[in-house]
Amino acid sequence: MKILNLRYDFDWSIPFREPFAGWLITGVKLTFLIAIVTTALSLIAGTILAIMRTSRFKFLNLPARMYVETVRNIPGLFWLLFFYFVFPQMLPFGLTETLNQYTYYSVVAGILGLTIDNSAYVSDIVRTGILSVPRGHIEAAVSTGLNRFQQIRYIILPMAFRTVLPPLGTRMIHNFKNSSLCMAIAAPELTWATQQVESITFRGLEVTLLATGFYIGLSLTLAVLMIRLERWLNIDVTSITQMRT
Amino acid sequence: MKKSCLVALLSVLFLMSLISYAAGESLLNEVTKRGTVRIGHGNATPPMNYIDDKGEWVGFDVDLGTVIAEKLGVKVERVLVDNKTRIAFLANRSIDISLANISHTRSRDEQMDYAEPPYFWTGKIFYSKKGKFKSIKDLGGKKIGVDQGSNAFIAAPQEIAKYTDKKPEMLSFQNSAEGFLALKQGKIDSYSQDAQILAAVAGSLGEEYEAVGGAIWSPGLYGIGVPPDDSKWRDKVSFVLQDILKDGSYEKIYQKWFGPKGISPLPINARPRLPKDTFGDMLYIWPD
Repeated sequence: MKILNLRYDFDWSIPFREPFAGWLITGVKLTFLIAIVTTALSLIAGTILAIMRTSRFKFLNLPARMYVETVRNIPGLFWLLFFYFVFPQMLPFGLTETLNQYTYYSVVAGILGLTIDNSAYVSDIVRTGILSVPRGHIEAAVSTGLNRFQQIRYIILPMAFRTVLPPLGTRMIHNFKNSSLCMAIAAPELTWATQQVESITFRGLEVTLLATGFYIGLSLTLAVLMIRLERWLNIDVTSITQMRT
Repeated sequence: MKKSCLVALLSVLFLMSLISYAAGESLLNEVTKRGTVRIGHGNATPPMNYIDDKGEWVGFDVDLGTVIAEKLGVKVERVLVDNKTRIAFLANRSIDISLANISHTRSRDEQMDYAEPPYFWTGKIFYSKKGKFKSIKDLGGKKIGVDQGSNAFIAAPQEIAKYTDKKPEMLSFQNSAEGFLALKQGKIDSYSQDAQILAAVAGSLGEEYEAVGGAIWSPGLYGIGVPPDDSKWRDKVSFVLQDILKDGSYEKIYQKWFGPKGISPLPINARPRLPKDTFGDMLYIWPD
């Protein structure tokens, strides 16, 4: 019992007082923005990478494999700090100044960093899906005269995504929670806001509990939505395995 | 789904049930009995407290902490704190003393107590590229950086509002090194922090920068933090600090860090002292 002796009296008016309430609301909005944009971007980038990795051509699959291996072995926070502090300095012509002086560059850097990190994992998941598409289906597509692009677009990807929807959903929820890393680069998202309130008032537990509730609530909602989506698409794992044999 | 909601709710309730108030004996007895004093220092704020090139934990605060422990007659146990935990750790009594460049402010005083007098008298400046801004008025509408945990996040816009209607854009960084890097790269137009910290973080680059308007805009009176509601311990630490001021060991540390031949020479006189026009150069010490 001694370990968790908090000696703390709660003052629940803090999260609803200005300027704290304003910071928290901005934080929630920005967390949503970062989560939605990075989810979309990493889905696109991850899918392209997955297609490259399953390609027969070395000039396509080698760079993709190198990318995934590099990114997966570096912590996500590194990419955020890299894009915020280092990346603009590497650019030629007045781009360095333009980026540095852009007020919301921290948000841009956060989105870039999270996208880089997440797309590597997404590509791995989508790749598994592509590999699970039964050989016969692709052969059938070839014999009906579809070209390579049409095969991927109409046959392979729709089947692959149906198979990997559950792990993909989990990954996106993880990515949503990773948005809290953006606090390290002064992007005023929700976790930054809670830290900011704590640093000014020295009463952090109220806002931290609220933020925890927000993250739990939203993650659970996303999980429920994913389950609904799976049901709606009527994914039956047994039917897929039967098709394969 | 219902089950996981229930588990989450139960764990929160469990945490809250553990919250209790313990009114124990004075820390003075506890520290003497224990034989060690737990002092909280930061490690990212040169020259007050930081890790030097050799990987050692040094700084004005660290040296002062050593002398305080000596005078208390106990061993020192250093605990790492940051801008946020330096106050929270006092409140939950994980440390006995917080010596981590804490300016005395009213909102902080509600959560903790300070030994008397403040041990270092400095203040915040707006630091910018030389010649970029003439006065604080020019900072309206610009991007201003501060450290997260600094009271300047609220105080700086209020100060700038005295001169102009244009509101500045505030950013807060995790430590002074990142804040200065952002200033160097032009991510912020000005960085507000205490004068001696900026001088130390900027190092030899300091020549390219200056205090906007040339002056301190908010006083920073660094106090030794002690846990709230323990006047016996607070008095003891105050007496020890004043003894250190009286017997010259304070001056020795001051010269080592801020003297003309010190590690980070300081043009202002930051020693705790009484108003010069009335008292001359008397230090701020209570008479017996």
